[in-house]
Amino acid sequence: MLLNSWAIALLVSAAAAFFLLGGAIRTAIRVLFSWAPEQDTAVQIALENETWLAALLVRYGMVLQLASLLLLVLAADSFSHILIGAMCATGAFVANDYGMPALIFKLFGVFFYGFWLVLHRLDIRSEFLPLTRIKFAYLLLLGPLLCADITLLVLYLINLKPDIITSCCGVVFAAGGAEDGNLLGPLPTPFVMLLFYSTAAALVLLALFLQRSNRTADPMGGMPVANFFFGTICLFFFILSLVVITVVISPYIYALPSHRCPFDFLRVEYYCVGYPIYLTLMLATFAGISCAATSFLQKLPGLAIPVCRFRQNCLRVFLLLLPVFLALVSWFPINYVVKGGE
Amino acid sequence: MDAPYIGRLLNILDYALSSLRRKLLKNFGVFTVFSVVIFLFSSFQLTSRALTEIARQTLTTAPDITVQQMSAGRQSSIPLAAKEQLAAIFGIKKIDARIWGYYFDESNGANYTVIGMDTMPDHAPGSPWPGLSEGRLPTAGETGKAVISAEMRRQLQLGERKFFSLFRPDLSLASFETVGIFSKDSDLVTADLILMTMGDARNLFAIPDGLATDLLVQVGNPLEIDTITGKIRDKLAGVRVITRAQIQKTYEVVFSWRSGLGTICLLTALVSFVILAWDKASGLSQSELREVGILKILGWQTGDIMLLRFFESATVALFAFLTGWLLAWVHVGYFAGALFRPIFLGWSVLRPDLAMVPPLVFSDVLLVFSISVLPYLCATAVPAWRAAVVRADSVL
Repeated sequence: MLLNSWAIALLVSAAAAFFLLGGAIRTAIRVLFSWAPEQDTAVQIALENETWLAALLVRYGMVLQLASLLLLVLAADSFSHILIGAMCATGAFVANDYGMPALIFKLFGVFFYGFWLVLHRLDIRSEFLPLTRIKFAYLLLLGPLLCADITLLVLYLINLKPDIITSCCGVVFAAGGAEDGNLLGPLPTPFVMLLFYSTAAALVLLALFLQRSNRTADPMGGMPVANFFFGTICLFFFILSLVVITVVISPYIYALPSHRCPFDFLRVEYYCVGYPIYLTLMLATFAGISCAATSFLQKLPGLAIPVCRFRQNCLRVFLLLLPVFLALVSWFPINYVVKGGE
Repeated sequence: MDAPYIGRLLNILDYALSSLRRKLLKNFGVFTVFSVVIFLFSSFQLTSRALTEIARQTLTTAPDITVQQMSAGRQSSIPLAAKEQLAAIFGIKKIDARIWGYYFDESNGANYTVIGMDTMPDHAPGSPWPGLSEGRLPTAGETGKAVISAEMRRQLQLGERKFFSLFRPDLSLASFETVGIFSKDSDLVTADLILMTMGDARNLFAIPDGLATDLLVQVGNPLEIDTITGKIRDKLAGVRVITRAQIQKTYEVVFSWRSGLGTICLLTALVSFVILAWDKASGLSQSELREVGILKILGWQTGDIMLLRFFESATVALFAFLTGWLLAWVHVGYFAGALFRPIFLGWSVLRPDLAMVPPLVFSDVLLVFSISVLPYLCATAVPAWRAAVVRADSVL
């Protein structure tokens, strides 16, 4: 179904991202081969100028990826009016084998672009530019990621046929677990919710601990084990939250026990409550993982103070957004339990 | 975010706006062309959205299930006896037979759709029917009464007269009296429609007794429509069963396909514009180079100048987007999408006179924004960098 305004918008964004990242990768290759910060040659000065361009292109690329992630979800919602059997974006995503992988690649792609920008931001804070080689080597890895993303998107759009019957969210995320095509098996709600809230509490405690130790300890000394745990739990919490939102929280938002869908509450009918939920979750996760991942950079020349400051900011953002996210998702079940419904 | 950071952004934005004012003529060209490109994209999107809405509203009165007899892959008349067979299916509320067909009017080259029905679905005889702007529906047993659209009255050149005649297949004349006019809201499907009783339609098309064109089935519980559709298929051999949801989806597929086709055609305009924007942004005059040089000497960093260029492009893009979108809104809302309507509705002699009211939908705004503004901003990225890395000593 390439002949559709949404598909065309997605392809235009993909093409633009491809050209932007292509330009940045060209710079990355040149940097990896001829970067010599100690020299004062014309080639080196030109390269230093080019790193600005690469950063700009990746920044634009990330904005494009964010926009196209939103576009993909809204496009799937629009396709659901055309596909037989689909009633919301879920149906459009599971209409063929490429929909869900395309969404997952786009979602994580945004994180990977963001990490590059974090590296760049820290790199230019030090006069020694200690991360230049690392960040451009990392940039080379973003190329295949974008190619995979675009390939999955094109395959998804080509294989989307309006005459093929798909499933709606009621089947895909059903509680029964017996039917075919059920993405999430039967999950014991009390156990999942206990795990969800205890993970969140552990994260908050860990973040407070890191904030304290980062403030008082010598900036040269990281806490590799605590940071590794923090980053891993952040990632785990992100995935767990997506499952919890879909399986446990969404029926409360729709006020319908059988309606489990992670996309419908982005619609106006539900006051677009999905946008703040996903935005706070994504930003908090990004801040948490960035804080953990940058801890080992503190030892590099000239980066001790910038990294320390950056991590403090990340932890502040994390500690602000995680409670907001928890309040948003907990509001609907609590409202139901206290007031007995809508 | 600390205050100096925001203050720095505001200062750069302030400088960007004053810089735009100084280069008004150059930016006005880009603004005008960009507004036209956005106008074209948005018009397509808004027309498609408005027509989909109209189709959705109109189809709420369509029957739940339509049953048609197929013979050798083509539609043929269905025996009225099938009605009795279907009546046994539990869950069916009502079955109406209908005769319909096309009537070619040689005098003006128009094709009319003639529908003969004795009772309208969901309508109690005698009560006013919401689909009419004036008059009433013909009642069962009446002969020579018809409901037409205002557009049809114009085409038949009736003026204030109420009577018109149509030819039967043997070229004898059948006379009709206009007893009602369809409301304008349903023009998408009623612009070319003549509604009469089944007896009159049978008489006009010379269809033998005991046959009808199709059967309209009303279902009590909408959730059972799919199950009942299956049961109808099992009971009657060689029938085609169409649900309202399928008709709705077909309309949406057609409009989405046509809007996609239009967007593809407009992509050439977008590409040309992106090249123009790139070219305009790349061609730096001597005075602009000097300006960058002076800013650098004053302490501006490469990043600041790139931010300045971004603010300039973003301001132009934002204003062009608002202008293009508003113009498209006026075009679709007040001129009924006159430029693109033939692409969506076809070129018939009887043009539906639609009142299109495009709703403001966030996803439409994002769609047009991402197809126009984002490529433009990307096109200005490399020129912005080129302008920013100019060395002060080489231009002053």
